[in-house]
Amino acid sequence: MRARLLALVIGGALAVSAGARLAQAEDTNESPSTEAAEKGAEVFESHGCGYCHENGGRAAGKGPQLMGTSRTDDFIMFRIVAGKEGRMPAFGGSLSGEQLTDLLAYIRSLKG
Amino acid sequence: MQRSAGMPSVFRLSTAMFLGIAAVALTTSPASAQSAQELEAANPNPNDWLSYHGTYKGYDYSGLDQINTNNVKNLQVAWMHFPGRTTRGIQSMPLAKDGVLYYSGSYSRVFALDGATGKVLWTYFPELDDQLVARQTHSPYNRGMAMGDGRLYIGTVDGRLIALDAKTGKPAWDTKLIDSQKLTVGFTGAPIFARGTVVIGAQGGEWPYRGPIFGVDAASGKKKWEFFTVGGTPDAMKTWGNDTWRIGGGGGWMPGTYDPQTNAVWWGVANPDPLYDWAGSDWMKTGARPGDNLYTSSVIALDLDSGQLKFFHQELPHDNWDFDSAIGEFVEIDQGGKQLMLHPNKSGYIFVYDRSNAKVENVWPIMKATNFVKSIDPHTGELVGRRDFTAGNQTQNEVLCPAIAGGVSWNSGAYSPKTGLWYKIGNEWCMTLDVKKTTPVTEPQVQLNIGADFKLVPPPGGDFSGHLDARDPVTGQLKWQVTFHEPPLASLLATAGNLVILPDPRGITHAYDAETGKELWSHNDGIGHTGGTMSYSAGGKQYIAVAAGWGSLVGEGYAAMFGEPYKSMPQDAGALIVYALPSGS
Repeated sequence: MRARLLALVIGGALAVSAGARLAQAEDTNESPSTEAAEKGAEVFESHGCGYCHENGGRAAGKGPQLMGTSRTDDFIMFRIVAGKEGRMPAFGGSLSGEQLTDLLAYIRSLKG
Repeated sequence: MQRSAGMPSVFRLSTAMFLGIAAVALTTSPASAQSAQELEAANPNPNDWLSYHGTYKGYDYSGLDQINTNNVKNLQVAWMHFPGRTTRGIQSMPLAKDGVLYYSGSYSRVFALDGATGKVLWTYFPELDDQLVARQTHSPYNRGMAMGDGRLYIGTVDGRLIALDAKTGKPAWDTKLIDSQKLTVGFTGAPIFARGTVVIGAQGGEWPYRGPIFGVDAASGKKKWEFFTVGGTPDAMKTWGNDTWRIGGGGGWMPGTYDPQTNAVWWGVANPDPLYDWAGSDWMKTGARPGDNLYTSSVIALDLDSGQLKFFHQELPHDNWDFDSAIGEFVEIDQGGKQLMLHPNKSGYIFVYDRSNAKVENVWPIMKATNFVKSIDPHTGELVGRRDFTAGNQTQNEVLCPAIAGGVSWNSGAYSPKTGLWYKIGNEWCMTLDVKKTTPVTEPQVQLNIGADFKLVPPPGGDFSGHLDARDPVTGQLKWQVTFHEPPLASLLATAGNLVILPDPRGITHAYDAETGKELWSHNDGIGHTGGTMSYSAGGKQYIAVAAGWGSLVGEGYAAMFGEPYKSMPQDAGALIVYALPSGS
């Protein structure tokens, strides 16, 4: 049941993500959009992500550095949604598909 | 800020003593009376370790002296126990009674072992809400149990308090106290047992809620009372502007203690949320939570029977640094004709109180790297020259010290009545701080509300470090010190054998001469330590138990700060390691 729910949430988020990326590429030819990244920063702060990903995700802390990560979009989305036992909480039940894509945009926008 | 509620202290003390003794003698069951006698004994049986700190006195001290400065060099592993599912290591303090050792692991898994051999007598693994556990940040570790009336009591991260028969491990009752599915938090700290009541505090702090402490009837499992650490009285509600008491944080995630003389449960209350307010110096009127924010970052004393507030002291009014008072270390010191209570605040300032009313008797710092205030008045406890923040980068010119990890951490120090010294770890670290305006998230589930980005950095002109200090507990005068590059995080143990036992982060357990600080013995346990350290006797032989296993929320930052061995140290492994002298020694 939980696996099915996860698959639905992740599938939905990735679909939104792909759509957003496509629209963004057509509109501005920039990646990712500033607006999505700004909204993603709010999601990052309001959900306590900086407690583990220090300096807004620009440095490692209890969790890994997010800036410049070589992980794929799918991996990052899955980790945010499903979490990792004892290391990172699962946010699949808390964040909408749009919030997830905004968060991804924020992570991709991080600079030192 | 210190206030007292109710009658004059002399009358209160003598009346409480009489009523307390009468209550034990007349109104409790024979089992309760026996438990009370054992737990409240002036000279407790050193063979047992009946509560989180050993006794209500909060000493983390063993009166056993078979293992001592002369023979500790021969100490060796007697037995080990691997609990499995050791997510975030073993963070709990074992208990011992009549030669049986009890301890808990992550997911509130409970083990009863023969104290001499480690043979498993019974186990109890509660079924938890796995989906909730997956959503939690401060989870699934458990820091220990209480014992009394022939039962063990343990909290769960999904908001329950469970009683187990100490002989069989069969549950006697299982009471749901918190809607953790909504609030995200539950119980990770040990409860205490006192005169037929089990007291346990909820997690809170960074989560927008009201952080309750519960009193539960040990016989039936029914809730007797609930005290909200945020706005728990009409006066306290007034200290939260804009009704922010509804989402203020608080909680009490480590066990306090019980003072039979005043029938008072002493508890340390966690921080308000967001951790870092953007109000600047005008925090009484504006910002995320205008006002003093009672009773967060306070020491409170509750009546055991009613849960009513007797007296309190707010160590940090409007805490703006996550230096909460939730460390459950309350050390009863009688010195110079005064009955005192020592309590370390997470800031690294040590508060010494009059035990009858929480009036400040002294305040002293254990760490050097500090600038969140210029000082704390040792006579009044008033913060002098506090640093408050507005939104944005607050540390371009001066980093903030100590770091969020604290001048002291949550595991306990130890006091030896033999040496008169208190042994405690101080931490030296600082951090950058970029304050963010946040909106608390409470739907569909409560989320962590930090209010800042930060990064831990070394103190200006120095390096990260920690130090084991041997000090006079009242004056803070230093007798000796041992320095570590990486701050040790496990609990300390002092013994009548004049030893101080310190399990360190790299995995080495050390034994020091309690008088001089000279290292007398060490052993590599193979993994870092973040849990309890205690001693007991089984079959007439002394044992020392050390929780080995790495992964606390502070320790998890060590890989970024220090690299190896922490980068590769497992955070899902650990064992209870029990030491003894060889036979015939």
